[in-house]
Amino acid sequence: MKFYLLIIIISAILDIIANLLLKKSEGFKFKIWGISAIVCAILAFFLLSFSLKYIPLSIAYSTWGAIGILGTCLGGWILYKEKLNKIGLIGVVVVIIAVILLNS
Amino acid sequence: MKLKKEVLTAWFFLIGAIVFEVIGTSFLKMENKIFGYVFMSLFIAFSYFLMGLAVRKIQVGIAYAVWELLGMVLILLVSFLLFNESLTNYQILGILLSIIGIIMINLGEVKEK
Repeated sequence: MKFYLLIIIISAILDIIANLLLKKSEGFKFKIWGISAIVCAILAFFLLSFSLKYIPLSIAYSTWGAIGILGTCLGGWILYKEKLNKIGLIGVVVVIIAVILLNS
Repeated sequence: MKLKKEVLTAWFFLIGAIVFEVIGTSFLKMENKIFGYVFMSLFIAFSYFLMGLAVRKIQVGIAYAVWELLGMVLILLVSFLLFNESLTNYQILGILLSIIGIIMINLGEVKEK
């Protein structure tokens, strides 16, 4: 696997964690969760910046966004038993092909 | 009427969050790394704060999808216009496919009540 892709994947995972924490803070009613979310997000972008040595911002950001969506689907499926219908599953395949193309 | 106004405000928060996030991400391209990181951190922190306020009235799934799509489109514009980045045909196809794929995933979410 290309090194920068690993950086982007870890950064996307951090962003997914940030989003889950943000959900937990319920609009900053619980400040600790909200602040943890912000810390995770800043770390995610900090990591993402290292990939810019190897690839353009447009590619880095698109890959990051696509992996973020895949991770959110997986997280929703594992944690909350959220399911996808056929259109959604085809969407997952399309996004995976997109990530491969972006980094080809 | 009161509820409508609240929802509208939430959408303003969401769009604000996206704009701040894109500006923050763009700072990563700054020559001066330290300034870049400082500005990025400030903008990202404020962006997530706005996002937190937005998801009080907008469903997280919808907010996340709008965020991802608008963010991607804006970053592409910034990359092309400000940073003169060029892409191969495969990469352009990849970006289009990821946008289509994200829309499909959001359409394909099974909502159980």
